[in-house]
Amino acid sequence: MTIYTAMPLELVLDGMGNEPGPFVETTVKGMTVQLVPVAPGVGRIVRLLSAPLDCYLKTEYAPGQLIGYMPQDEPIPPASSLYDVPRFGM
Amino acid sequence: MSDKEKPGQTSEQPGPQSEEARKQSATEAVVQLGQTTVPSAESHVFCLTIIGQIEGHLILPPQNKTTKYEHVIPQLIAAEQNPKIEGLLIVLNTVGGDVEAGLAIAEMISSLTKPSVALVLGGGHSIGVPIAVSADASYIAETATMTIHPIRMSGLVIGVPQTFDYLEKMQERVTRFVIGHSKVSEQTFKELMFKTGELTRDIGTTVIGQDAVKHGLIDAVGGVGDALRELNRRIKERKVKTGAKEGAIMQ
Repeated sequence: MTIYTAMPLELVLDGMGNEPGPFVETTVKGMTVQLVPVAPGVGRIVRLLSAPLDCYLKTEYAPGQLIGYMPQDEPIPPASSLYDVPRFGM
Repeated sequence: MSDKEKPGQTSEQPGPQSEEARKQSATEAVVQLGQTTVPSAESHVFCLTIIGQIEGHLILPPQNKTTKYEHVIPQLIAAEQNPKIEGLLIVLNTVGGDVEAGLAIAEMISSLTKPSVALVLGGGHSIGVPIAVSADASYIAETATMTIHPIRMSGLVIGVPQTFDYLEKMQERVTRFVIGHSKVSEQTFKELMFKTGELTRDIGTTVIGQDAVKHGLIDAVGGVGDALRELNRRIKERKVKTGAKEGAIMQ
């Protein structure tokens, strides 16, 4: 890999040894995205890992944009379904 | 394509968002993230901005503003195959970056079938030069600069001839592309690249606005108005050509 830049390389590569991230990989609106979490349920897009081609043309999915990543597609199961044991008229 | 996509919805061309859905997504963005994007009017021109460092094989530290090539490449493919997009405006303000990523973007732009116009604003340095010349037509703002200098490795002591040969080959790739896609001659470009006494830290040249045009690197000095006018002219020309072709096939 060769970097060809007019900027001094020591400025460009400063902090190169630091671990990037932490990253979260999640599926949002049919896209698999890599995010850096900034708040609970909100992440900054790092890159789209797998997405419909048209998503790349939308500015709201460009790297650096904020996106909500709570699982929206899966319906939350009703509380009653969590109990497998039948209740007997209590 | 994700498994969660609904049947009948293709990954290439989802139907246009309805007004209701658009409003809903805007409200959702405000509620969830406290931000929203300005609703864009339907445009037949796709604007690709290339800023900061062009990031390729290595994730650069966060103080760098970067253009990620893994995002730009699918963007260019999407723009090429989307029937609503008729032309591309490439706006550059870059300080350079990864050689391979830069050349990949430049090759992609030069092989598009849709008209493309590049506009250098601020700067189009180092690997930004092949990207600037890759479009069908190129413009540079009067105050914009382009730094042409050799590829080097900072802090590296060249101890073996192979390292020198490798850097020379990398440089040859860039030189060949620029010469092939602009009016600059090999001799002039190499003269600019190896000129001494102009850059304090390096050998090379900084060409400003009119100088870039004089050397044949860029087609004309101009701003966004000129670039868009040229792009629209090329779009119209292409439409006439494709219309004539279709007419000939019908006959």
